[in-house]
Parts: sequence; C-alpha cells; structure tokens
Amino acid sequence: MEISGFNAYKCNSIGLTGGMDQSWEVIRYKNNKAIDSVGGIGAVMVQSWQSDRVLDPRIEVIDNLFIGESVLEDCPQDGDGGYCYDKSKQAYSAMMVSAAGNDVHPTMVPSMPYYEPMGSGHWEGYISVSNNEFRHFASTTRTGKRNTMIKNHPLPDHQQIQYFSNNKFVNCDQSNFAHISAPKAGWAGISDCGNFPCTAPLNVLWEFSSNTFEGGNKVQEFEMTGDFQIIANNPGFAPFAQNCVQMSAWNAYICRNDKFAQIVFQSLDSDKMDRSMQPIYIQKAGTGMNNKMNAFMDHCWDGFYTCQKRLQRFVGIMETGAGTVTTLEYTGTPPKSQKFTLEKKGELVLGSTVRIHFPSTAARQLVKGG
Amino acid sequence: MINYNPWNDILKTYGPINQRYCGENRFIGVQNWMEFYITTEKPCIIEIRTRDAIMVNVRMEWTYAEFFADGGTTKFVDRIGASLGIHASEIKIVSVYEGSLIIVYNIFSAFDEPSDLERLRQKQIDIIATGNFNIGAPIIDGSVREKQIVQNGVVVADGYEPIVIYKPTVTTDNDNNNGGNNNGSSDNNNGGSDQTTRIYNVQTGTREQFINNNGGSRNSDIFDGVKVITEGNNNGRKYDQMQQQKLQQQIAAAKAKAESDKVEVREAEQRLQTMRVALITVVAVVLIGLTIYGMVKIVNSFGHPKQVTEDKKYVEGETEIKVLATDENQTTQYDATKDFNTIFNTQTKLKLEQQEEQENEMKLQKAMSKRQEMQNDRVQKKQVKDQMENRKAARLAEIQSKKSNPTDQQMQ
Repeated sequence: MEISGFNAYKCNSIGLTGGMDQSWEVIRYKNNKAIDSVGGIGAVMVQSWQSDRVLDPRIEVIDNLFIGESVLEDCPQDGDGGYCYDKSKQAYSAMMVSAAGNDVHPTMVPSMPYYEPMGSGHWEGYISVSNNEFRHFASTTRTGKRNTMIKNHPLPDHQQIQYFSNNKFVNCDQSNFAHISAPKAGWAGISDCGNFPCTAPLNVLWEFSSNTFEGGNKVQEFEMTGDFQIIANNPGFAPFAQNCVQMSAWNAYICRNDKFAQIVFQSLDSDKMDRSMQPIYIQKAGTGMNNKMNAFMDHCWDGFYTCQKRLQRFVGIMETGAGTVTTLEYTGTPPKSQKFTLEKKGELVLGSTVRIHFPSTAARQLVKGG
Repeated sequence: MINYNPWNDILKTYGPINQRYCGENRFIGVQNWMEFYITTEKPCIIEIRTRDAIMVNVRMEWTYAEFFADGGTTKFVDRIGASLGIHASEIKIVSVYEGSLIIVYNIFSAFDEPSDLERLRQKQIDIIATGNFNIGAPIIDGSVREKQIVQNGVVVADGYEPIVIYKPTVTTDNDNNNGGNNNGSSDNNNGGSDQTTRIYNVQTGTREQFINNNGGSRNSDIFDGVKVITEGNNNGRKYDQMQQQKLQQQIAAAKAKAESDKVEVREAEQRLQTMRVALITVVAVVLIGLTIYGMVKIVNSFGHPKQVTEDKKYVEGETEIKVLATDENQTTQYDATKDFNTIFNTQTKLKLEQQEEQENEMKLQKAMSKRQEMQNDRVQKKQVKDQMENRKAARLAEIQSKKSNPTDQQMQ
C-alpha cells in the first residue's frame, strides 16, 4: 500500500498515518509533506493477528519532505490571540508494526487515537526511512517546547529497529535531533505491564547511514557522519555499550557501534498468555550489562477489566560480536518450548552465544528454522 | 534438529560453542546450562523444545580417568546402543562425573513415539535388573526415570528377582595407605578416615564373575591394585556386616513384595483370560455378520443384470460423447449469439402475431356489438312507430264513432 501526495500542515497530532489493514506486507509513505505539525508522519502498520509468524513486514518512508515551524504562530499574543496550541513537535514519529489496530473505517470515535496500535507488537518488522529531506528545524518551538526531527512514539511492546539512510538535513539545529521517550510510568499496573512498565522504549535502536547534514552535524563533539546509532537511555545497557556518548537532552545515547541487535524470543507453551516469566535479564559476559525486560502489555479488555493475558514475548537490545556470550537470566521457570531470533538487517552478519540456565534436567533439543 | 557439539574428553563435557554456524549448541550437564549460537543471518530462527526421553542414571565401579581411557562417551554410547538395539544418535549423554563414576544419559525414541519410548524403558529396566547391561563396568546403582533399579549392587526393581549384581565392600583411606592388616588405625570414630572418601572395592569372585559374564569386554586393568578387605580389618568388616544385614533386609522385603506381585499377576492373568474370551466372541460375531452381509451382496449382484445394461449404456454414451468431441466435429464453432437472435426473433414474431389476433378479435367484437346495438335501436323505433300508429288508429276510430252517435248533450 502506498500513501503518497498528502500534505500535513499544522496538525495537532500525528499528521499522517495509515496501514491499519492487515492484508499489506509493505506500507510505503512516499512524496508527502509534513509541515509544522505536532506529530508529522507517524509510520504505523498492522500486520497480522498471528503476530508470532515471521512474515517480514516492511514500512518504507521515502522521498518525503519535513519542514519545521511556519510563520503562523501556534500561540499568538501569548494566548490572547484567540487560540493557543503549545505542544512539543516532531517531524517523524518512529512507531511500530503491531498485530492489531483501530478499524480502517471506524464507525464511532475510537477510545484511543487512530494511530495507536491495539494489539501486541509484531515479532519483527523492517522500518526504513530514506531519501527524505528535513528543513529548517530549530531546537525549540517559538513557545520554547522541544522541536525534534526524530522521536519515538512511546509504545509498550516492540519498537522495531529503524534504518535511516540517505536523508538530508538542511538548516537544522542538531541539539534536538532526536529524542527517545522513556516508558510511561502509568504502564506499571496489573491492568497493563505488571510491577514495572513495559520495556520497549528502553530497547529502541536506530541505525543511521549515509545521511547528509547541511548547516552542522556536530552534537557534543560527536560528528554525525558515516554510520552511527542512537539507543535509548537504558540504565542496564547503554552505559556499558562501547563507543557511546550520552545525550541527556535526547534521553538517549549516540554511538558508533555496529554490533547492536535486538533479540526477540517468546514462549511457545500453551500457557504463553498466562504464566509470567518476567523480568528476564540480558547479561553480557565480562561487562556490567543487565538489561531488564518485561513481557508484552495486556491488550485485551473483558468488560471493565483487562483479561490478565500478556504475551510472554521479550525484546531486548544486546551487543553482539565474535566471542561474545550473552546470558538470558530467567527469574521464573523457563518455558518448555521457546523461539529466538536476532534482529538486524544488513550485510554484516552479527551473532552471539546465548546461555540459558534450566532448573531441570529435562531432555531438550534445538531446532533451527522454526 | 541440530545435535550438541561433539563431546570433549579434555573438558569432560560437550565441546564449547565456536560460533561457526547458526544453531550450534551444547548442553552442560549437572549445571543444566544450554548454550547456542544465534546470528542475524536469515533465516536463523531457533527453537528450544523439550523432548520426551528416558533419563537413566548409572553409577559404576570405574574411575573417571579409566572411563575416558577406555573410549569415553563415544564407546559408552555405542555399548548402550548395542545393548538396547538402537542407534547411537538416540542416546545423549547428559553428564559424566566422579563418585565412583556416575553417568547420566537420555534415551530417545527415533520416531518420538510414546509406545516406542515405553518399550525402550522396559527394555532398559530389564537388562539392568537381570545383570545383562554391558556398559564396560559393573553397576553399583542404577535408576531409570528416577525409579531405582539397582541399589548398592542389588536389584531392587519391582517384579525382578533381588539378585546381587555386584557386591561392593568398603575400606578406608587409611587401609589403603597402610596397606596393612590389623593395624587398627582405620577407626572412623577417631577421625583416622573419612566416610566421604570411602573407596568401593570388589570381591575377587564377583569381579571375575562380572568379567566372565560380559565376555571380558571390560578393561581388567582397572582392578589392579584393588584392595580386598581382610579378616583383620575390624572396622571394615563391621561396616560390611552392617551392609550385609541391610541388604538382607532389603532382599527379604523385595521377596515379600515379589510374592504379593505374583498373586496380583495371577489375578490379572485370569481377568485377561476372561477378556480374551469375550473379545474373541465379539470378533467372531462381527466376522459372521460381515460374511453374511457379503454373501447377500454377491447374490444381489447376480440378480441385477439391469445394472450391467446400464453400465453398457453409460460406456456407449461416453464413447459417443468422445466421438462428438473430436476435432473434426468441432470445426464449426458454436455461435451462441446467432441462436439467441433466432430464438429472440421467433419469440418476438409470435408475440406480435398474438397481439394482432387479439386486436382483430377485439375489433370484430366491437363491430358485432355495434351492429347489435343498431338492430336493437331499429326494433325499438319500429315498436314506437307501431304504438303511435295504433294510438292514431284508435283516436280516429273514437272520433268517427262520436260523429255517428252524437250524445244527449249535443242533441239538446
């Protein structure tokens, strides 16, 4: 499906989104314009209810134009101008591939914003943002709010790796180049994520390659040239990752480290929606890494209450490389059957030895290929 | 399925992950660690599944070094495979550790069939409990799926004779070190030896018997230097006596249980016999029924030549269709439009003719009714005229009669 030729101007939320239909394997946002909008383009895609199938769904955001604030004020005369929309803005809202969304043709006002995924995050997804142009982004809006070019929309389950290549940034202030939202504190609760918030925003990984910057490419002595990565401010991972610089204003780290990947694994047992295994920790041998992961959110509603059913799927960022050994530390009993993949596109093949401790001596076998 | 890395005799476990290919894996026994290599290469989807298996744990009169010197896990697996009649790939060593030598291994069914697995389990118990399990050294303890089969060299499995497979005896470190008899320095209570460091030895007769029974396949060198307990070793003898008493008690208990089991078996056999008779009766009735049904069908088939004729007709019909369907008969393409036009025109023409007939009929009816009306009118007019003439004639007659017969008034 291609979404092209749209202009989003002064939109008070995500300006352009789509892809709620479950029949598409590729959603392409092409030749659109997002001008001075709160959300710009928010790439979301609903792939399949059968979200544990590996189908390689793709979102492509290509040849779009993102423009910063226009001359028309959002809050004229300090609020005495008749209206005032004083919000942070972002050009591109990094979203996800989900297993369920709102109806394509809603018959009533949905309880959640139209672009919000309504189901568990998909097993995988390839999100490519390329050949776009970003123009005239100041670090803040005229009202002093954050004005970011790339920001994640905080979603609980799985924020797939996003690949930014051959984009052009013209006359943009890089001090607010990106921002990664932390998990929402409100997610911690029996009806959503349990004892602690879901951890997808802590495991965000953005890969940048061959982007050009006209008007400055330096942030805190880090030159954004060639290949670099942006990862979330995950206290159990980011401080221990190699070649990374903390960007406090972004709530993130900027790195030159092509060894990052996301490990995705889940229980295949019949009680995969009922028996909790979280938290599970990803630990890299020889380092202090201890990335705490939560299972997916409870997305199901049964009348006034949630169903108490959470998919036991885990997504975590990890640092791979020759000779690396990564331990998955289960705090509960590991499932009888489980499935694993290591997500990262590119010519460079990454890998790591994964160690799991089992509390029983039951006979186990490893099957490749699913 | 990807097998574990090959066993590493130096590390005494499966070989480490060398990160050579997606799915390379190993299991570290005792500690229960599973390790595998995962990559970003597509497709590298890895699944870890539990597999139904029989876990067997054997403790043998063998040392760690001697086990590996005698072919290690490879030879051990081959021996189990030969004993059970299965392929070596269906046996996985879980762990090998000292004490004397303890080996834990899993037996799988090649077809993952529960019945096959049950058969293997029974066979494994049989050969252990009957002393026919040739795995290179005598078994001191053995369990199958956590069910003890052999304990301290004596068979304790239910349903088996409590025979002594191997008779271990105990001496102490001090005894070995001193090598002497009656030295009295091996008092456990005095701390001169440690119970945890007991060495299990074997009586010469038992050892020879084992070697003879198993065709001498065991490396007899391992028995060299084995110290046989002597009469003078009081502590060792006391322990031995205690062990023997314990064993005798176990044997007595096992015998009693075997007796009660025999009674149960007899009863079960009787029940089985009854069931067999019932089953045979049912099967016989079913077979007779089927035979009668079959005979009726055969008789019916002879009594219906019509079916044959119909079949023949069908075959002829098929042949005709085939002939019509040949290329020669299909040279003129069927023109559906033409046929449709013809049908349409004919139908339209018929409809028009019908309409015309109806119209003519209506016209005729109209003319007839008009004519009838005119005729009625004429008759009516004639009637009026006649009435008028009658009245006129009557008037005239009245006038004439008045003229000829004047009244009294007129005459006055």
